[in-house]
Amino acid sequence: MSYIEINHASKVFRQVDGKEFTAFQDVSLNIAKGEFICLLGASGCGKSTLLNAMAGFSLATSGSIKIDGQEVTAPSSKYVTIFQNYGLLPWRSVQKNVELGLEQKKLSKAQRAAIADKYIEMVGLSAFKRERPRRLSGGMQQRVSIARALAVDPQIVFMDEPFGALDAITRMKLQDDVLQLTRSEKKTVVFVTHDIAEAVYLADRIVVLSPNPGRIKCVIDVPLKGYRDRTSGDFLHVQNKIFEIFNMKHDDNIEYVI
Amino acid sequence: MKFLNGLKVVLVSFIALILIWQVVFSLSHFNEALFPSPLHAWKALLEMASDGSLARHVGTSLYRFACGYVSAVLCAVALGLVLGLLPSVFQFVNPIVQLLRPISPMAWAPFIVLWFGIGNRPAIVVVFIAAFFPVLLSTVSAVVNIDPIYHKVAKNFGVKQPALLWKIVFPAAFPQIANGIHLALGTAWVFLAAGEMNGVQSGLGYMVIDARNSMRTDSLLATILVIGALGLALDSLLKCAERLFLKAWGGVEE
Repeated sequence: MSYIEINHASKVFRQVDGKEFTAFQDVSLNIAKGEFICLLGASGCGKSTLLNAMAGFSLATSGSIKIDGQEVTAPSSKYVTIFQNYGLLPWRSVQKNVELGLEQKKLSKAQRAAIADKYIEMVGLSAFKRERPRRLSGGMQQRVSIARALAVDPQIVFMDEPFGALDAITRMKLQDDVLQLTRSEKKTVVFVTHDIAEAVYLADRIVVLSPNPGRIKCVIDVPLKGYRDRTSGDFLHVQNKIFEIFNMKHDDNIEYVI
Repeated sequence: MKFLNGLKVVLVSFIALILIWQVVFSLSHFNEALFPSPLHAWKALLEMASDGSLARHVGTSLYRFACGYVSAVLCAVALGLVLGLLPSVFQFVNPIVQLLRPISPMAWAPFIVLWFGIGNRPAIVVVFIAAFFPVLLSTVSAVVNIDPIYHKVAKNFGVKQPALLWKIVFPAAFPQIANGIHLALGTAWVFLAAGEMNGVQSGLGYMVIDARNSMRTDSLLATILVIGALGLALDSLLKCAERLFLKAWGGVEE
């Protein structure tokens, strides 16, 4: 039995004018424990909506989504979502932001602080734990949000284009960090992105979605275990395969007309 | 430095106002008793200050203002937070609020005197009404317009009521609530003097009426300027407080 089971799930929105809009349709997918899955597709392919349905924020309208055998009905701190715009509370310090999820558990103040310290250190922000989020750069804010997510020890981390607002260099650094953190903490990760290289770099399997309505086009295994090199042949091979799926490879055939 | 520059600008503009006033006085054909000069007003002000009546009336007015304004802010913010979280209730409350809001607090004055008697209470009630609606509506709209991501984060980490209210909703809505509280100060101050024109024998509003009754236009004008100056001072004070609070809150986006 898979850890996350999606069976013929669809999401239909009723719009203001009464028309129906299908965000994703008949999606079936099984995800094993500890897997790193990337949902890859252009904007409008329903990948974020699918993630929101898995995380319990906005449920699928038909079909079923089960996590660990249980139908998803509401968000839970067993599976935490990391958003593109961080979702940090600007009125709380870094430390207090990381403690937010811990405050709902029966922990003493000292225990909370110790756990928060551990994860803040893990994301390399110990020197900033008393700062407010607005004083930090975008990359640092996203690290805080990762620390906050990991602090409640979730089984699954959902990431909704988490690095979409960051510059290329910060983004690559954070990709490394996420790989390392989620592997060492043994988390299952579902990661939404529209960046092909990002998907190839991170994922064990890439789920390619196509738009109108959102469907799974294909699932690609990424056979790059352990250390990944963005310039290696294997890496480029997988990336090429995805380019082909999106019909973005230009053929070099020249037609001669006499 | 910025503060000193700001002060300089304010001083220059006030001096310009006094000069214009003096020029208009010199050119006009009004009798002194109808249109006092800056010097007359200044002398009247000194007279009121020296016999202690000014300080006494200002103190009374500030006390009434503080009672009315602070209680209005507390009630309106508390009610606004609740109504903001219960949109289905607010849709029924909103028409009533919209009906009552445009009514000048002074229109209630006869009832206020009948129900609350004379003395401090009528003026306090007028200030309360004047401050209550703007703060209530800005609090409701602040709560309704909270960035949905805060609710998502709260749900995700299992933050439930009542913790949701004071850990997420109030702080998230705080900057806009603070803005509403600030705006209501001006409105409430305007109605303080009006509220003191009925049923009381003290305060700035009473000073205006008293000066009118004794045909002392110089003290009348001096009182009016005192009302303006105090309003300005309260506004600047609250502006500073708002800035400090927002800084402590975590800073606003530039």
